[in-house]
Amino acid sequence: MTSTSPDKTGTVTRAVARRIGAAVFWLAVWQAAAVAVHRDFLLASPMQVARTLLTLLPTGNFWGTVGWSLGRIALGFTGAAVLGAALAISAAAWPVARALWEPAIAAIRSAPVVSFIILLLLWTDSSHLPVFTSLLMVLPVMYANVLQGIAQRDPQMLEAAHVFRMPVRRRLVAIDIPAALPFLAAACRVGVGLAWKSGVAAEVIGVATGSIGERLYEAKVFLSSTDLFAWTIVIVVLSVACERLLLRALRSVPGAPVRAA
Amino acid sequence: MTPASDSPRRDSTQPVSPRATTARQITLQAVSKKYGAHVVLDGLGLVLEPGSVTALTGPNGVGKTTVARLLLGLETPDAGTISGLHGLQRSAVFQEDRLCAHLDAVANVRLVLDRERRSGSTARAVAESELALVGLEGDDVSKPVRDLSGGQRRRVAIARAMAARSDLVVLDEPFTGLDAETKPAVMAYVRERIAGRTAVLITHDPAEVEFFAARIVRLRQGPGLVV
Repeated sequence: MTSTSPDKTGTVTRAVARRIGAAVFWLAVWQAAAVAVHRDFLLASPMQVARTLLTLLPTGNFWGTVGWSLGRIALGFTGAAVLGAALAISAAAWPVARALWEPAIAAIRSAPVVSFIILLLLWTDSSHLPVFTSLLMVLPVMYANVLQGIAQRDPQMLEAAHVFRMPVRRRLVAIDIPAALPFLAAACRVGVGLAWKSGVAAEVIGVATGSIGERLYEAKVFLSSTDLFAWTIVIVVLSVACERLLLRALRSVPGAPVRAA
Repeated sequence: MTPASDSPRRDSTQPVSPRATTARQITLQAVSKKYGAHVVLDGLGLVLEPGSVTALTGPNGVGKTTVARLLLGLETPDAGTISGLHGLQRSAVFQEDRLCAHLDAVANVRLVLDRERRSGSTARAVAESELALVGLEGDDVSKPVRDLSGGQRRRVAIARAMAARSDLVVLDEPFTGLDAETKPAVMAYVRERIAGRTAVLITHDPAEVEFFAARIVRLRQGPGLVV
């Protein structure tokens, strides 16, 4: 049984109050700006956006659109995580592999996302765009963080594993994964947001049918800032939810720090 | 190396000495080692007979831990040769505990068990009986070792080294941090468990040398120490 001290409860309450206060402040700023602009198509008010969201939420079309984008962006993110980890592990093991991967990773990291989107549009159907775009954007982040995690393993523990002839699988669970987890958590934090931003950008440019990006494109065409804000809020909520779920999953891995890095 | 398959079957949960089957003489011949410009070992000669206990003593910085690292295969000599180590199974109590902080004591010991004793219930029983012999039982063996005291962690490190199947055991100041009440029992446990194995004990404590009836090798600065 756990007990919470009054001091701790008070601190938590104050922190929540501060967050609510900040949210209310920015909503008020938004409302004031909307009143000042006084043109819905340029800047919708928070109330209008909330009404649009309430209208969207019960519709099957809304959830279909969310599912379409979520599935493809999650696939791209997962692909980046798996590929990035594999490349990082091989780079840590073999200097030749590292020499091979580094220029490619540097090029992917530096190239503008739209260059990839246009190139991918030439090669593939627009429905695949968010998968490959988010994969390419997240890949360098995953690669760099997993590589750093591998480098941060405790050399003394690795020596102990060597002396005791610890099998690789056991060493992975006991030493390697716990060392890499904080860096993986950091990569997830950055990567999830990046995957959503780049994935939706690709959907907008490719006008991928049935995607959130298509809804944003329509908002632009029909000069509807209300829809634009509503769908942007949906993207932010989805991105934060994905990040929280991932971090929670990482915290449940044996060896994870009590609090994620 | 895997344990010999033709060894007599026994109840593998019993805390008997997990000797491997590769015992042999280990010889260091004119071994030198330096780190940068600092010469740590200069032409050391040393013979370790199978099943013997050798105590390495001497002031700080004369290379006791370097000898331990050479024997454990963690360093290679800059000059000279070491014979008898190839294929030898080794275990160690390092100067530091070197435990997986997030794992409990049982899991830390289980990590080093050989294939024969690695399966679920057997491994747990072996680890628990080994830990009981160093006075760790109940809640202490099932919470992360980061939550144990320094002395308890030391005992886990000792139990781990004793549980591992090995012919050569390197003990680098193994009893540091143990309290006066616990230390005699743990020393007796170690003496019993290293019987038949070649052991190297690094210590500054003459009482420990005497207790293990060890052959004493006093390392000193300078070239050409041959024992």
